[in-house]
Amino acid sequence: MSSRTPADGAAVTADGLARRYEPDVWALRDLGFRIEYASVFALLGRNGSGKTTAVRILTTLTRASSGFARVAGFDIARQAREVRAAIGVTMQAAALDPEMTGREHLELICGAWGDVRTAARRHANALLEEMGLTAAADRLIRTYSGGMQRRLDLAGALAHRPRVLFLDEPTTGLDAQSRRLVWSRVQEVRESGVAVLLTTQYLEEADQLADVVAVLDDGRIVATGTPTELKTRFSTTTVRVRSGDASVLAQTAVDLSAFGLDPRSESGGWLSVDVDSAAAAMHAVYALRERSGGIDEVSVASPSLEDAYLALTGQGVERSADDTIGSVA
Amino acid sequence: MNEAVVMRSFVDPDLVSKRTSFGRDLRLIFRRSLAQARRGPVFAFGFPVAFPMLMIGLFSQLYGKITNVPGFPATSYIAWMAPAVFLMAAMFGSGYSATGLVTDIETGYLDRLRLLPISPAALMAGRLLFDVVRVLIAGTAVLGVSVALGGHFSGGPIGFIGMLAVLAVWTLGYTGLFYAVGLRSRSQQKLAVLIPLFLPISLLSTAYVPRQLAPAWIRTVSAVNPYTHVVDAARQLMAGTADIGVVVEALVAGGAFVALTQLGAARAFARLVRAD
Repeated sequence: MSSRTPADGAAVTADGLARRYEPDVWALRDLGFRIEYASVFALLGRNGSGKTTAVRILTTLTRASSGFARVAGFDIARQAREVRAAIGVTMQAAALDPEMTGREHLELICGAWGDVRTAARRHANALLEEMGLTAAADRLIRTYSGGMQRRLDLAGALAHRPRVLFLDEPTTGLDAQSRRLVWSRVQEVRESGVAVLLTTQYLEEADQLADVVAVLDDGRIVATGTPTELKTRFSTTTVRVRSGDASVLAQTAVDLSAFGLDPRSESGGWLSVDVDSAAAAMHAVYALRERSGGIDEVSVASPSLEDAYLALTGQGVERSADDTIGSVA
Repeated sequence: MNEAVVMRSFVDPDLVSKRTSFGRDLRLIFRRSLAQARRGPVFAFGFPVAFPMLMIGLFSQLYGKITNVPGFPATSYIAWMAPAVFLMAAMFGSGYSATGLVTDIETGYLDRLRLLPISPAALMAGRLLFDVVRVLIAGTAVLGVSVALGGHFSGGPIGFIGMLAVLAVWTLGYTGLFYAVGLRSRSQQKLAVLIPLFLPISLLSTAYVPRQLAPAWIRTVSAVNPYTHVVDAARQLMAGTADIGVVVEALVAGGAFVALTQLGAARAFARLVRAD
């Protein structure tokens, strides 16, 4: 193995990355994380949270105002050439030339990576096949659906077998089939040892694909962890019980309170209680056993990544007008 | 995780160093430009042929009698204008080139190319090479039509090659201006503003009226207009009366124009690809 290819170490390490556009407009501030090989890291955040800036900096397209990062062992500021050889990138808007055919697009990429013309042709055919684009190979990219464009972009990003793959919102706007195809490719790529950094605004995507999720808000990471960790850390399981008998409900509330829980009455004869630990859950079970005869219905709502996300980034997806993206509060 | 298994699927780390052939980069970019132009031949080739033809058609109708003015150095106005409209193929071709580049910036395709191991210089040079080839084809068509309409070509093969050389220089210079503006502004609108520039440049030259018939101030401006020099050289090359001094002058004036505009374009491009 060449000395330029560290066999150990992280795929990506970032420390204090920041990007300022005007004196007081920060696209990104203090971004730091580590991505291991053979794992998927998701940067989760809404539009304008800094996801694309983070990807552009790590892929050497944009310079950081401050901070350091190494990608595949190379310094993004001083070894851009080596970084570019080690990474594959798909960009948010699937940066393709609509007036080229899919085959021409891939042949140009393969040619640039060193294939002679015949090899580029063979290589492009294989990539088209892999992405299910053989039938559309000689059509103009302009005529491709959104999903086909993403698949073509992904094929191009994988052409030189990169060690680290950056996918900026790879499935935004895709139909379910295309999304699943991209997901399964990402899984395969990860299994082959590649590190994947993807940005997404879809919680389901982060939950399904990512080994580690970092929630990005206003240019900084507000939480990092596995999807399960984030769910349990930032949202709670809620147990709800319903009874037609008001006195049963009242007594249940008293029992739950006696265990140190904090039940809330809801309309329709429901009572709900958050159980944020295993001990609390046990207590709830004990308390409810006492009244099992009078309770008509019990439901348990598991924590979702969405609850965690909302808890971390504020309530809605929309920002208030005065809360401009990236500005210093 | 088995490291050995994982690493085998990775790219050859020496792939980067193997990929340093400027010629191959140039070919890749040239081929892409060619494929693009083949899909839009009206804009790539039709425009730079049609507009000079329109100019020569209208001007020869409107001002055809100008040749009766005492001292006019030609008997046919089409013959007088032919070398100037031949060079206009470059001016009407520049919009196409530069808007293509701005589109690449806007769509992010240029970023895609930047991530590939293609030399940044080849990204521009491949485009320029194609621009020159495209304009030489268009210019040859313009010349052919002018001759069919009554222009006289008596320069022989040397004259023809000389004219192509002058057109190539003029293309590099004029396209450089459009590239410089396009790369600085990154806006299609700003480029559109540049398109009528051909009018003052050609009016303030010897394209339509010989210098002895122009007022003194226009003669002064015309003398520092590089277009005047390339037109004068093309005219002599076409007539087969080329004076080596005039041709050298055209190449020097045109070369200076190329250096000025291409340097501006190269600097703007370097700033763009230097991870802004």
